[in-house]
Amino acid sequence: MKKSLGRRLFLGCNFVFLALLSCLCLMPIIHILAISFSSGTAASAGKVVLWPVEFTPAAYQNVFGKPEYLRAFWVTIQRVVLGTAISMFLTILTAYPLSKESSQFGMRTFYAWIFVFTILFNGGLIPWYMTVKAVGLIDTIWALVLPGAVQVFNIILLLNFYRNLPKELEESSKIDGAGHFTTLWRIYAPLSLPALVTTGLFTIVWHWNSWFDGMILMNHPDGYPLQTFLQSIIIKMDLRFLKSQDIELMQKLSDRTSKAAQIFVAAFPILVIYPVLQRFFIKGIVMGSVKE
Amino acid sequence: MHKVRKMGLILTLILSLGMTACSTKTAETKQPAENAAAEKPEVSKDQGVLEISTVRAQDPYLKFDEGESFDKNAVYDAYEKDIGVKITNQWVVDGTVDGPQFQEKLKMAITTNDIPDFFPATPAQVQQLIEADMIQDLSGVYDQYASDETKEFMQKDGGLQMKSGTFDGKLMAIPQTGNPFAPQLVWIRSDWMKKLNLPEPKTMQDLMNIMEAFATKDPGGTGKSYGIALNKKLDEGALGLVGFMNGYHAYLNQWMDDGKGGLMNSDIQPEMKEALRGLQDMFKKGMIDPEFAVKDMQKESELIFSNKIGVLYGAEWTPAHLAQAAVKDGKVVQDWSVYRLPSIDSTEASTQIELGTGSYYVVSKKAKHPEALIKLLNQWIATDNHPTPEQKVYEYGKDLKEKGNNYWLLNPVMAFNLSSNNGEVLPKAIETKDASLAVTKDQKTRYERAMKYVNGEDISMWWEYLISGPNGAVSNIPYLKEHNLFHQNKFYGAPTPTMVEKREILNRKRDEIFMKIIMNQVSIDEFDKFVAEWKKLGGDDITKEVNDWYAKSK
Repeated sequence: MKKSLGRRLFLGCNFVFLALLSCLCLMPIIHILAISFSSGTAASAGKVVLWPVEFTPAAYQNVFGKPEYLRAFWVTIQRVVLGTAISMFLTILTAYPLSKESSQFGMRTFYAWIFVFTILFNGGLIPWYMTVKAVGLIDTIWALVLPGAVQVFNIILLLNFYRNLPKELEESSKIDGAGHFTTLWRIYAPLSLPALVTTGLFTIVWHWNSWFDGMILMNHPDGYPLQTFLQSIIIKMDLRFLKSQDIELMQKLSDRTSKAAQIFVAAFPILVIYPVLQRFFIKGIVMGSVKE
Repeated sequence: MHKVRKMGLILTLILSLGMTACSTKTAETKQPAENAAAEKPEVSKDQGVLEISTVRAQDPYLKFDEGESFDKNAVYDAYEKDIGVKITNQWVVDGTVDGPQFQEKLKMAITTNDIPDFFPATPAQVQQLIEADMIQDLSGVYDQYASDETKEFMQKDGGLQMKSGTFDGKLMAIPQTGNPFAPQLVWIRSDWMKKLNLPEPKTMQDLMNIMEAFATKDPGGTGKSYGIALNKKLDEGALGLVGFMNGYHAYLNQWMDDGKGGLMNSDIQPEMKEALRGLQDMFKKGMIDPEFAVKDMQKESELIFSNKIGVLYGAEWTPAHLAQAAVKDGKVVQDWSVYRLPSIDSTEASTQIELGTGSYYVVSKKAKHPEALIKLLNQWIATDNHPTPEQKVYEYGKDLKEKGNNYWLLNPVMAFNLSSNNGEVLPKAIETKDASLAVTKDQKTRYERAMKYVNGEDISMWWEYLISGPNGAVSNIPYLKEHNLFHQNKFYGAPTPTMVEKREILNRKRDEIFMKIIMNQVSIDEFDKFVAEWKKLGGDDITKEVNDWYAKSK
């Protein structure tokens, strides 16, 4: 079958446009990578664009020799693993009953609205902090994990997915003697794998990228997750009131190659996870959104 | 089927266990704190140990000795042993006290009324804390507990900094004192001046000639060069515009004598218009990077580092910034020299300075032992200025010797010399290689660093030589002091109500108009329109409030 000229022209333009767009997204990462492998002088003179100038892996030796960096990395891994596990567990548990009809679950609409309500209104920063403090989570890993454990957006995604599963499945498992618990864990959960991976990925990325909660809720830098730690090294100093005793500090902060290396190492795991989970990702969103 | 149900139950159990685990943990940690608070008065009577809590920022430059931490270290132990003050940290963050981490967390602590016994606050926070009635009057404890040495030390600038912590006659905040005499200077590539055979700049016209020659003759051989490096922040410490304006006797963001016994704002004076006119002319001649308005200091500096610009204004620490490219592979590849601000006319240029402190120690109303703060201050001043051999622990930690760990950063209360004689001492000491001339801690470190450069041991210490060496930055300060060429901001009170409300808008407006004028997008006469608008938009109200304050504080 021959494609018409217009069609081919469209495909060509489309291809070029999308290629440019993805280059645009890729460029900053490559730039950071190039800086991290360049010498300090070349980086601060702005000579580095997309290829390292005066190649040296010194910045990476520096990064992996830094106990604070590795410690922060470990905190982040902890929070991602714990946070994703807890969050997924709660998401499944919440989405299942809410996916039932009102005839099966009388108060369904009421509960659903309570969850929707939290998306529309939130208490704000100070009440959030005071609550976490009053519950006694401050300065523990749980402060990073529990406050965001119920992700309503993910629940809605999963809930819609469950609704689209054929009712016959539930009925047949009931006939075989399964209760709700069995139906959920043996039938619904395995079937919803694409949706679970999708929401799981959202949660992982969310946990990986959060920095503000670490800064506010941790009372000691030892408890900082990676992004909070990174934020503390890449911020700019206010030089207007620089005291003479801060000079050495300033020299250290202007070290662009080391910063670039730390940023790149921090972004790397997510860069690797994405392509691996991507096939579920696309399928998951589409399946969750289409109605019968 | 049963297996699955069990698994679910186990998971739920783990979850709830986790929750209880963390709640018991905090309960445990809370308990001793409450006990300690309850027992404190008795303890202090028996053993004379005062307990005081604070919040800290962990400087990236601080390196702990093996087995020590912010909560348990040689410096805190020394305070407890020597003066009976036990310091506890309510929380510690990464970064510096000015950094967003510390400020965000402190803001949260103030809002939720969860402040420690004492902590460093900004002037605006001091004002807020007084209004909320959260901090206590320190006049009494200061009079009673401050040593004679401390009292003298804190008054060395004539009492301005202490006065800035006094509200309605009450000492509410103790300034973290500092040396206000930090001049702006002009930095020029001396190797280029030699190459093009240019004389040293004595007047603004000389400097203009140098900048024009640098821009047109391209001594760096890069094909495109400019006369001067500016960046998007007009008041940046280096690559800013303040020094240039001072050369025109214009001052940025200051309050100065209006000649009638009151104060007026410096941004709207006719001198400012002339300074902007000068910049506009330079822009027309292509001497200014047309993209400077969107570049920050580091970005614009790339042009300096890549041999495209050879003139900038900056504070005395500028060489530490320039060193990124000036020294390469143990050789100085960009040579700089420094000069006092050249003036547009026959009157010498004054360099504008501020109060010298921006941070204040305040004590919570709930604190039981406000005198502990004063004791800490006494001890810091004594050990920082004339330490006995054992007192070196406050500077270096338990090994009592320098090893680059920066233990002095652990001191919770600091006050720095209100006037420094580095300018008199260091250039002479370095020139004659006489180590005995350097007396204070600061002078000794600087001397040692500069000597490493002089002796060829470490060429990267070039920056310290350019700061402290003969003809270096600080060598200009005695002359400036002698001829009274420091223009100090006359307003040092807390921000006034209209300032809090309008200052941001007015400054943004100012920066926008100034940028447009410099970049020749609007005519210089826009400046007059800006002045009228500035007054209308709240400038007049601010001026009135500042003058009320001035009348009261005189």
